Amino acid sequence: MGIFGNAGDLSEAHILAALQTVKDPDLERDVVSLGFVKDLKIAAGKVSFSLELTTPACSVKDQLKAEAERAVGSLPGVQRVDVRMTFRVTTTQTPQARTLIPEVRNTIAVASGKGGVGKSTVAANLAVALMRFGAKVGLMDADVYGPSIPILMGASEAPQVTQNRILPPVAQGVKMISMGYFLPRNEAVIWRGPMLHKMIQQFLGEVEWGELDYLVIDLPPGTGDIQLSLCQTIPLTGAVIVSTPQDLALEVASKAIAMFKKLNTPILGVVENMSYYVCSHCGERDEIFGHGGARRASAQLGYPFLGEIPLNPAIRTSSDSGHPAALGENTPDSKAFLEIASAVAAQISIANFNAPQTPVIEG
Amino acid sequence: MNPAPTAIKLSAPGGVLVRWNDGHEATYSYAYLRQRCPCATCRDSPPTVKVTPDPFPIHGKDVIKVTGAAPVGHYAIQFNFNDSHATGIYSYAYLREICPCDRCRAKSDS
Repeated sequence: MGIFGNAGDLSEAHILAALQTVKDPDLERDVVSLGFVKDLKIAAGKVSFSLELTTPACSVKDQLKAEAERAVGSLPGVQRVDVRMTFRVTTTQTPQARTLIPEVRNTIAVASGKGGVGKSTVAANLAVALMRFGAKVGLMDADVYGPSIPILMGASEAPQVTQNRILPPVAQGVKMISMGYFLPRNEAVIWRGPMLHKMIQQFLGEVEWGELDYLVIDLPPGTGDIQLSLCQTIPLTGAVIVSTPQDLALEVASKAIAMFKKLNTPILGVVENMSYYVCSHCGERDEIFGHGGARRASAQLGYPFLGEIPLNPAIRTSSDSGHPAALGENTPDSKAFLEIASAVAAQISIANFNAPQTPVIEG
Repeated sequence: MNPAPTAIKLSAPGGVLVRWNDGHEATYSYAYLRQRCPCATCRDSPPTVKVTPDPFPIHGKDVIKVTGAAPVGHYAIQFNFNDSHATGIYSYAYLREICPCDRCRAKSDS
């Protein structure tokens, strides 16, 4: 901290110039040119400002704060630096693009090539993990054939319906909707395309989601009507592909990826589920489905790898009892999900930054 | 990523003007666009499109015109026509494939 500088010489320009050395690691540009510096106040040697990041889950948040404090603190005349780390999630929604969900900033489709890979568990825990970072999150269960989200989230309370608006129940801090609420138990959904399309439109347009940072959407496995309807009805922010260690390498998950690419939907990354099994008795690790296959394949294909989740009986028991593993305090499972959420938020930040603008249509 | 339109003007001289993010630009006449509707019905039986006005336009149909358009996801545009047809989803790739400009036509002729 300088003692020879005159505090009166301190100007906004000096502060901003100093902060140009601080770079956002995901967007690879300095925080000043990105417009992150907000509420800058200078008063008698005391400088305070906010750094408004684009993700609530920045893994190097503390580092950035320290860098900013150092950069400004080393200016002559600065006696104290107060940095507040805040976030405002970006969106590619524009008023022009007439969309059913203008207040939802980002939509994340959770997809897989085939069933049984744990997609719904990942979707539910991703939503909870994002919520834990302070984001406003919704969870839409679009898997009509096997709607398991209400059970996973411990939310059996049915939604209230008023005047064509559906009020989503809130469970574990997340707003939710599922076909499971509207079907009697033991009844199957045997619908053709137009009905499914209508369901997607209703779940998006008639549910009172309110302002959301992220809407996580659990899809049925594979590539079908529901995936297509989703990609047609909204400009999906991106897709998270859930794969077992072998799926991606064996090209099963590749079909789902190919579909999203054809529809210009960014692939946010790959999650390797059932990555390995740790015996609950002796702690020995067994790689039942192989390990690391999805990580290697995603590196080869050029997709971000978001993280791995072990095959842990505890995840299953907590899922069955409606207590998502992501709520755990410092457990290996909750840490895995929090890391994945952080990676997803970062990839969304990057995808939005690089996204082409929706075309401007005029008469 | 694949080329995408940046701006679409529905009542440009000659039809619909599309400007692309790779600098490409072209105008599609309304009839041209309607005749190439990619929807299942039109692919099955191509539509008859009214191109010339009636000499006595009292009971006749209007000449074909685009009345509106909306983006579909990240990848396509849906056009509404004055013959009540609005089910065609024209992907950006398809729009480029049928681009009527001289450059594209020269490429497809060669």
